[in-house]
Amino acid sequence: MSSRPLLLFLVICGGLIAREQYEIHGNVTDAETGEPLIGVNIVLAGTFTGTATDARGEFTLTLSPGSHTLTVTMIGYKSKRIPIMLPESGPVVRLNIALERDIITTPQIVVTASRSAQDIMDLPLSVSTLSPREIFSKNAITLNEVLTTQAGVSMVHNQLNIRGASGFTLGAGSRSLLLLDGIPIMGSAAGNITWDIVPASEIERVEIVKSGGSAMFGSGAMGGVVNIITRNAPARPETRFRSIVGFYSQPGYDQWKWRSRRGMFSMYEVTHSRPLGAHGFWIRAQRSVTDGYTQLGWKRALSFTGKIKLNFGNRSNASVYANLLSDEGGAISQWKSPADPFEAPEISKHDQSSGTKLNLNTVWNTVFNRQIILRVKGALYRVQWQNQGTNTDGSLEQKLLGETQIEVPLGNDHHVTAGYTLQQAYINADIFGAHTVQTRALYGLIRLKRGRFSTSLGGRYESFLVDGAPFDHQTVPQIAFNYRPFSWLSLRASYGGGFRSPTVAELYSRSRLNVFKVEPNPNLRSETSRSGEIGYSLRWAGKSSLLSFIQWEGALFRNAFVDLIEPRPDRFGIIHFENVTRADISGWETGITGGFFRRLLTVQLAYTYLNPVEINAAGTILDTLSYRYRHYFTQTVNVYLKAFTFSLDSRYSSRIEKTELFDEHPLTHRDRRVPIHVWNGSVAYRRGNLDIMLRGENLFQYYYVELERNLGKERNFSLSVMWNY
Amino acid sequence: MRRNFTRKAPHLISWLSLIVTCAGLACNTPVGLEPVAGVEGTLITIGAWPDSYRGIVVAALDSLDLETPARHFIDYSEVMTPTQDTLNFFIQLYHGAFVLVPVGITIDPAFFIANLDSILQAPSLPLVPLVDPDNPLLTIRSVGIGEQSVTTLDQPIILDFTQ
Repeated sequence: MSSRPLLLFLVICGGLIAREQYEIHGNVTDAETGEPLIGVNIVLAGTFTGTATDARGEFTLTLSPGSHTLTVTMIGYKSKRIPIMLPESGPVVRLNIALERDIITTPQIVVTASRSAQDIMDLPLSVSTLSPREIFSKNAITLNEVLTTQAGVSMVHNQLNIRGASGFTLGAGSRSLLLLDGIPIMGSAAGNITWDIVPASEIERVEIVKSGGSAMFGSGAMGGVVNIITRNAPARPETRFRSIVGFYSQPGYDQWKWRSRRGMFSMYEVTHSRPLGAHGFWIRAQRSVTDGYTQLGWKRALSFTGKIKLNFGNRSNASVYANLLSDEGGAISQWKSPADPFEAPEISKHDQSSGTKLNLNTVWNTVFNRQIILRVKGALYRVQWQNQGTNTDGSLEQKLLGETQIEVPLGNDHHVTAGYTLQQAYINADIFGAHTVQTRALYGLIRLKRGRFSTSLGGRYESFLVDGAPFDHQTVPQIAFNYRPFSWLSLRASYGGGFRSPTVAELYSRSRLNVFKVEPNPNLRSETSRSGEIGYSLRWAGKSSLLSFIQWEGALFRNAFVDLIEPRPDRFGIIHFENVTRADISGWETGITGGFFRRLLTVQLAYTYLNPVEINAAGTILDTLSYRYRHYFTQTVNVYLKAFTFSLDSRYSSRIEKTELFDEHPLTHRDRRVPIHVWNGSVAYRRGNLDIMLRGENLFQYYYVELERNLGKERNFSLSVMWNY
Repeated sequence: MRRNFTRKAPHLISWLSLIVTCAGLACNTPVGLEPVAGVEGTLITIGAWPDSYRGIVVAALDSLDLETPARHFIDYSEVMTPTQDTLNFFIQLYHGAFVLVPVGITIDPAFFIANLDSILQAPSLPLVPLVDPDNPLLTIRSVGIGEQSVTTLDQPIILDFTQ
């Protein structure tokens, strides 16, 4: 990255009218192709004042006279710092900025691992990021379809697994935390994730913290964190239309055909963004409909999402984010039979579920003297759902969250972050009963840097009250190191504690799944963990025409759990959530991305090996943990040719070795499990404001189950069109 | 000509890598789940069940031996519970000949499913073949199963508890 500062002296060419505020206009382009860049962040250094480029790469920023430094950043490009001096009077200023594409040497700034902005190469924890372009390149309507391209991240029947922490828990309890702009968006009762409430098309970036531990984000983060950073409004009004239409293939075997026509799916959305003086907002309406690839896979959803960003001078800003989702769909429990795996059992053919979800997040940021930052967050997450058919259960859950955080820089290299969180959940559900859960937490982290060596020390105290009575309290530490012997190489090691208090669903569920019963276990204890890892990140970019860049990351990790909570059928076939005495998930992961021939060809490979075992107090292995892949491999190959991008990606998971509900029958091979081999391909075309993509998923119609008696996704083809105006 | 080749080589290599990957995969992608063989049919009960039965399944035996059915037990259908009077069932089997017999379960069906292996080893089984001794063919069915094919019973199995 060029270190030569660009100093712009802006001379007076016009009238001598004194100004209180300058309006700076400009555009940001790709230095190589000259294409305008959308969503580039232009921020006044040391303040919250900033903006982002619109669909034409244009931006507008209002500043007061004087000396300033603008920071221009975008994932995939070298960031720039541009010093400017604005005299007391002068003309309207225009800046034309060209960013060099270089995703490797760029210091990507991430905010999740230490709850404050930090260069990704200085991080002592394993963190990977996803850009909006990567999300768009999968034609994904929901984010869960994209996360699995990252090393160490997998899904079991839509349950997020980072390094195999969660397995599958019948939707009750997740050991990986999902945040939206730093605020948890997990269900109050079950601690589950509803992927439909994540606005996949309005994301600035996704940060995935793969190192386990609860020191920063508490219960539920013991197996990692996914933080979705939503975008802010660009400086000019912008309207965007996006549609995805597609169809599922008919089953590859005549015996499995169950409907006369192909199942269709579609998504239409319109987003409008607009600045309002120093402020800005975007709103989005989205309608998605799918017939599903199975009989009860149908779904209809309507959502409205919006975010308003308010800038109060250079030192304070606030944002309000809201999402309202109304959806209904078939309630899938299991297939009719292995002979008719796409159909639902006769008795539950008309089972469905409907509900509404409301998410409201507010954040207030203020910079005090000496760059001390105060952040105050408030959130409401309300979920209501109702089943119809053989199961008529319903639920109403509300969660309120308040948080205060302060960030204090100590000189140039050291940093302290501390905060207090209060969370209150109210749950009234047919299968859980009426309960309240309160969580209080105090956390702190100090980051020290000396030369190429940096350290972070942190901890968290968290207490839980269930129905007003103390349930548990936990204190966990975190210590982590980073050493950068070269600018392109970073070595890291970390050790930390984690914990998760049982959810209301795990404590109090009482329901029936076919002939299986789930019964409550109010005697559950919190699960705890000790996580350690060592890892490296290598990021190198060259001028060679053969190898343009290489990014190689790897980690060796071990998570040791005590009192891990797992669903277990007893000898009467009754499922309770139980504390498994001890469990150990160790393994390694590696991910490599390379660009060749001046990025004509890029290749991304990611592999994760897991050894998930249940052990006794003496350390003897008792069994394999259920619903975990031992080997997990993904690859993506992209070929860029002018306005076209051709892509081929795949996912391989080894056969799940152990399940809980149905075992493979030794004679008839009923409930057979197979490894997963899924191949996808796409062709994308981009010209000006128009993006078109044709994508095929599960091209070879490979059939598998992730969860017993639930078939994996059928082959499907989709066409997406996005137009910015 | 050499310059032309040098300029085009990256394109050729990129395309070649994509095409070779595709072709390799098309040839080597393993086969996942495939259609299974088995038998499907309907079980109908008439009248109130005897109190001792907690559930009824249709069992597939590899030969008709009602004295020691556990020795010949291959697989069984979904469980019909006392609140049901009709069960559309499917039993996954393999190529061969089998006998279908409705069986009353005298213990909790969930316990039966969870502990089938040990139950079948026990000297006294919580299973009662529901066969009319006077007219056994009313409830017993013999079926032949082919490869990856499902045999459908043309008549339902009827258990009449009113008689």
